[in-house]
Amino acid sequence: MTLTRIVGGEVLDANGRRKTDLVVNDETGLIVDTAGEQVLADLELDATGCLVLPGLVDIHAHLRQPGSELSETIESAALAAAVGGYTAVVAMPDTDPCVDNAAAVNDVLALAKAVKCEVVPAGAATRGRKGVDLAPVGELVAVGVRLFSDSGSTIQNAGVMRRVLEYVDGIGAADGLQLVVAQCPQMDTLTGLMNEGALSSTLGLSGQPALAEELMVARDIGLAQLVGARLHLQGLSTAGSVEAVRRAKASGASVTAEVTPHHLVLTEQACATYDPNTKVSPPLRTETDRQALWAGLADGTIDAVATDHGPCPADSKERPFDHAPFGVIGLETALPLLATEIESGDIKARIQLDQVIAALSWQPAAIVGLSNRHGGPLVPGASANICVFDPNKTWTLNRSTMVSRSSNTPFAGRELHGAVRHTVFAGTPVVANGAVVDSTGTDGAAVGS
Amino acid sequence: MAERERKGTPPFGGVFVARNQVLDAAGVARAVKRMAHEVVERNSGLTDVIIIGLQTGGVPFAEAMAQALLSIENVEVPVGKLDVALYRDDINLRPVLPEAVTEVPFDLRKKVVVLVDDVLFTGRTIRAALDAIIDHGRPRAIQLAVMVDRGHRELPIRPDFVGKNLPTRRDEAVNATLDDLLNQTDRFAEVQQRAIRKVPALRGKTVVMAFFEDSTRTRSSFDLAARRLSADVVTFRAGSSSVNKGESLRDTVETISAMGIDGIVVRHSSPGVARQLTNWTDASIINAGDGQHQHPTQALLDCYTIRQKRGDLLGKRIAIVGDINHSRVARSNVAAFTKLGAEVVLVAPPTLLPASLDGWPVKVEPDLDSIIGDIDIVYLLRIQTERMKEAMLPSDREYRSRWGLTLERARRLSPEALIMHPGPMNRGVEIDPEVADDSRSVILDQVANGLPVRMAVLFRVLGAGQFEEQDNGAQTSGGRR
Repeated sequence: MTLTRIVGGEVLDANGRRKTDLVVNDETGLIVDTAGEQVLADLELDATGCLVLPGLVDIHAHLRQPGSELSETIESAALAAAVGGYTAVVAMPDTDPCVDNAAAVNDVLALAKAVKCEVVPAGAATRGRKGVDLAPVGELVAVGVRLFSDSGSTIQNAGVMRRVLEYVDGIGAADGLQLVVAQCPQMDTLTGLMNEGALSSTLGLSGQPALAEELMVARDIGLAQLVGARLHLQGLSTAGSVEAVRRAKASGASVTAEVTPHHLVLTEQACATYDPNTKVSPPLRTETDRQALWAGLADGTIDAVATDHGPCPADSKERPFDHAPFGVIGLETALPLLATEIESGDIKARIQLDQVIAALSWQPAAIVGLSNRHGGPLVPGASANICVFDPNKTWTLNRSTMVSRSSNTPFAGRELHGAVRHTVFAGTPVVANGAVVDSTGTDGAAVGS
Repeated sequence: MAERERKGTPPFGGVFVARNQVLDAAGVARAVKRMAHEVVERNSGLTDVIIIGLQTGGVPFAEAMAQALLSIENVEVPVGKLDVALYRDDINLRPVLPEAVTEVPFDLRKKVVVLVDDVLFTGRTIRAALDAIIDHGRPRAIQLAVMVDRGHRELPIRPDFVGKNLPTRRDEAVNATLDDLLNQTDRFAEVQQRAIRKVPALRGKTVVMAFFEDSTRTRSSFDLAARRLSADVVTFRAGSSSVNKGESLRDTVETISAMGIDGIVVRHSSPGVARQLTNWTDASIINAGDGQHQHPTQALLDCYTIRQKRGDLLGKRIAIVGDINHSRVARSNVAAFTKLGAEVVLVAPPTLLPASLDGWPVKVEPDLDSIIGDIDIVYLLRIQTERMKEAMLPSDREYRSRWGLTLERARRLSPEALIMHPGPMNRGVEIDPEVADDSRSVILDQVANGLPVRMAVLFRVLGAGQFEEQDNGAQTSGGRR
């Protein structure tokens, strides 16, 4: 058993802010109750000047294993997550083979046992993510799946989407579980390489109109309301989508929504260099859209920031823009990027860091039913999944020092304000002083001495 | 023309300035007259004598010399003009642009050429001029007349006739002005008229033709342009297979660059590729068409053709007709035509216009009939048959009936109008067969003009030192040399 003391920081969780040290136990994985007594810790993690947060929770990441291990593995993704302050990551089912059966879930869980970040498999909503036949929801629920999504492809057929919502909701009710259907809303027949508008017309790149997303958002909200099911909308990118969710929530619909860090930071202007690292789905939108996403985050319309971490091998992003795959990585940079962004300009007036943290930690944890282990208030007896964030450290993002197996980020070379200093998973330091703790424990031993 | 020392001041109509005021107008006239006498003395009867002035400073003296010879001997000596920029030996060292047209419209064989320049300095200009003259034909003899000899020779060149000896400092510089590419194109067009249609401007340079998307006419045009400038040309056959489409551009361009090359002419079916390549190579990149984005040399040759036929683009009303959205030619031409003062009207089926024209300096008309009588130039784009399959057009026939330049519409077009098309044409779809051969059609001129335009571009990018990069994707080159 090793006790680790997190010293000198300010805790920030759903209960607010307070100055306190925390002691965590790597055997129980819990925060130790230190009331009234002096506990001697084996290790110390210095948190002076830092915010001590519940571990971040990413409910939308593509870990690529099995199938595309050259891009990422569960092991490398877990490291990237830890470096970014995450203690839980929901793995999308769009692997090869697809996670649409219990055996595939168990394969992922077996690999996930070895890593120091909770990897939660999501299940496909339809068989093979083809949008035609229902996935075996009951079988998947039995091995622990709580979120169903055809992630990476959208269920185009409204009838099929309706059945998915009904079935998942019904199984959840029968088993007394909180299940959710998630969808990246996009109308396939209106698709394009970037946001449709004056810039796409000038660049000669095919455009995807905002409507391609908004039509699907409207349809899915309508279907969810029709059958009374929960719906989670992934990766919203347009002002119209935010407004649709705002209205749906006001009318009592059981809808949640997430946005990505890259949509909060970049606009379509980034595509003007034809750098395929700016090619994402949904596409980067206009400044008006970007501001609307922040406004949605600020007023609670948007519940979560999720990375849509999408590793791609380097050579695939060195192709022509139209032949390169969609996607950027995001686990290592989400919190520092957003912390940097809210220091600047218009955004500063809209939102507090505390709200951004909520959207990165306890709010997403609640959507996927992880609140008992992640994102909860950092009180004695709670799970010791913790992120220590230094808001004052300035650093420059360098592709070569990233721990993800891929480096497809549009943010390389960018100066960031704020860095993850320590990440503690189940009472064990995984990242200490910004570096991954050696699994042999030698680095960890040095930390508190 | 003497290098480095000549200022832009015209030698007549005031004073002749070679840094210091050395000869006033009367002095110049006296010196020319004296030299003319010497020429007569040397070449009795002036039979077979031809005077060639070096552009630009030597030309007025050549004309004055001919005038003097006429008054002395009553013989009309033919006068030519020679531009030596493409023969210079310092092409790599500084921006050198061809400054004026060469006009040597006579057979030089068995003639005596009197080469006339304003200032003789290092002798390098004369060395280049000797090479240039030989390319026009082999004269019996070449003699050299200069108004001012400043000394400081670097080559074994000696004048036969000198107006005034004037030793000066070595370090006097001249401001090279960067002429518009279109103006320079004239100089390259002239090369096509010569006996030997080749100049040594890019000797020792290697240009790769990287055509990922096949294009016989653009590739041949660039290929020939590079060869006529004496560059070595390597053709990279990328083909159009899906493997190549998916291949890492970086691997490809690094492979090409490893051969030690100076420029890459790139054509690709994907927008932005020319721009992307500049990330991975120091070679100059020349965009020969990137997907639906830009085709800069097409726009240049179109502008050049219009100027050649109608003098100017200023105030011209140009209708670009057809598949605007999928056309790199349209994107480049909208920019180029409007920049040169033309008014551009886009005429297209509603499904083939870009999603947004915000910021495009154009008007849009739904059909050709409403404007056909009121335009100076009709520029037709090729209609790809794929567009029918993509549900963008009902049929060829419907396209022709609304947007095609039919015989009937061609009759309504002004007799002064020009009909243009970037090729290859779909006769019977966007243009009726008879109209393609109409006297107003300049489609073949466009093709012909591709050559000098591309020579001008290649020379500017590879031969003429460093140029500022433009700030958008439409640049002719992204050279980072």
